[in-house]
Amino acid sequence: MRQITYRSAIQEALREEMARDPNVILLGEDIGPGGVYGVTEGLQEKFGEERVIDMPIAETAIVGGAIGAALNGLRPVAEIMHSDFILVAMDGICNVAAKLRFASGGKASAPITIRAPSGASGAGLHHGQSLEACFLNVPGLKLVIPSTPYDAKGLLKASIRDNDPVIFFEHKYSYDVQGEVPEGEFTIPLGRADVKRPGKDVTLIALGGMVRQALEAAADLAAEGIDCEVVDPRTILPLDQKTILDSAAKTRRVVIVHEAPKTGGIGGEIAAVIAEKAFGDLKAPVMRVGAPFTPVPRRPYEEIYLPDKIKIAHAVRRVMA
Amino acid sequence: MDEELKLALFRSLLLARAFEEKKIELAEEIGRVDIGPTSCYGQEAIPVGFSFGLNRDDFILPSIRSAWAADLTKGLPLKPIAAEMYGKAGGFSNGREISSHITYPELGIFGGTGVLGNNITVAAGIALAAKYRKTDQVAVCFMGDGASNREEFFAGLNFAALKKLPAVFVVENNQIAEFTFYQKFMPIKDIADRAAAFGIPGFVVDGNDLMAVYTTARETIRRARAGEGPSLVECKTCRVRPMSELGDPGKGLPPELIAEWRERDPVRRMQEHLQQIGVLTEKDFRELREKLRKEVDAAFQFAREDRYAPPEEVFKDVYEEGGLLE
Repeated sequence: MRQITYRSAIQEALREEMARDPNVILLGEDIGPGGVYGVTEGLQEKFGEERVIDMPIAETAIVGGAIGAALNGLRPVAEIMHSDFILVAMDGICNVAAKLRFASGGKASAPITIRAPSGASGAGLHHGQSLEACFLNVPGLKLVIPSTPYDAKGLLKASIRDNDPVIFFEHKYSYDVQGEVPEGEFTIPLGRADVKRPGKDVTLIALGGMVRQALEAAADLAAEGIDCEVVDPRTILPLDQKTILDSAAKTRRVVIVHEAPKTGGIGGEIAAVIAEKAFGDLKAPVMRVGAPFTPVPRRPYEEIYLPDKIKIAHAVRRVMA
Repeated sequence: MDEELKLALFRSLLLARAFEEKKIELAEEIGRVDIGPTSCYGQEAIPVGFSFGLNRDDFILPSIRSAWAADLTKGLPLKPIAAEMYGKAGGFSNGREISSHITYPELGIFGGTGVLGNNITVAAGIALAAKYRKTDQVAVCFMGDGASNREEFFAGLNFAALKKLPAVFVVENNQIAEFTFYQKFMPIKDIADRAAAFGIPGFVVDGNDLMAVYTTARETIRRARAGEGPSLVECKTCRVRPMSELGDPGKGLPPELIAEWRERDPVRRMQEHLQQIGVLTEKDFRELREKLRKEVDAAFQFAREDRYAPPEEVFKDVYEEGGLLE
């Protein structure tokens, strides 16, 4: 099968959805020239300035504008240059978009997709956060965190077609990562986890860029005779509890990994679901691996800050002990 | 202006007034369920003048205070509005949402949220889609003097002006936001001056003069539809009521200022004008007012008698797939 990068997979999804549906438009800062990560490269040449709209530096206008356009029949995809900037637009996302269907008795909705390049980038505190947990407690939103080129393409296409607001967290350090993506049309439904590696001893539930780290840790641990199953939830709202609980019931040991700080991260929610519904299956306490509870330091300190395969393997050995 | 048009405008104004009067009369009862209630009594000419005569698919984005008057003028029926106010199942959101936030896309109504001013960028987005889809729609966005200080004002007007979007931004300057006189939170007298920052026209209008408001509305809406871009219209008015009908009138504007503006009541001014030009007699006026008051009464009666929504009707519409995700 052909190999393409995570960046190209996302771009292909945008290109295909724009070709398929004239109501799909893009809004974002500098997206005409391709955006800072090159994801929208060439799209303005192909689809024109009316569909690939370079926005003023005002996330409130990007998100509010996308919501309004969606209310009036379009299917906007907004790019937030760095997910850190999404905090400027929290009101539009959480107070307007997320609540529109409920507030209107189902008569209106905000079918917008917000692409938010997320995670460390070497540039520290305000260009490196993983903010997905900030949105977990907001009913009405869907949260997608793809880890591979294949998932990124299929999930983005599904997100654009979804009739509710979706935040699509792209992992910055994965843009150049290659993976198998078939030619032709496919989508991946939101709310379905994927078992990236089957195993019997420990379940590693990893999000976004941490899936790769978890797979590398699993390869190292296999040499020690520990067989890890790696589960990628892919979307955290909705969360595929069944796949997670089935895996927990099978291995009876769980480690959850994400790039965001451990405290208050998605791992706590997943651990709580497991504690409520599968406590009796467990042989060891659920462990979480996340970043320390500090802002993201810039390069070179970022390396010691981020969770990696060594930290993950350490946690796995502890639940095996 | 055509006499029949003047009468039709006046009818809308009088309906809005009848609704406000009822809300004030029943404030305690309503206040047990709905927030406030807040009233735009004395300011009705602004939402009426701008919402009158729009096309069905044009959008209005009302302000928190004048939403009911704007919605009624856009054609939203009385009964479900009253039911929404009472939190009943017959409301637009099954009674879940505050009645000043009614969103009803079929009639081009986006009701906004409890965070004032976040409808401004949404209006720009609606207008963007109108332009892109070539639908000939306009978006009329209302806000108070207070909300015009929000960041969305700058972001939304800049974007709308940049792209020459078919939008009209209407500031209902009633001189007070919650408990604070507007001159205590902005260093300019005329909010319309801010239009210069976006290179768009800014108008100052007597917001208690229905015909002046309507004339400006028509001109700015014409400009928007013609592709000439957005306008900013500041309608000068006065909040003659407290922040909320259950609130402390002592925290409002000074009594002398209110008394002065009560002399400029938009209903009385329009009534006097119509009587002067001989198209409405005192008797006609009383009969029309009585008829509209009865319609409003019937709607509130409907709302009182309507049922509350059971939990399964309340906890749905979170996602297209239905209610709760676990």
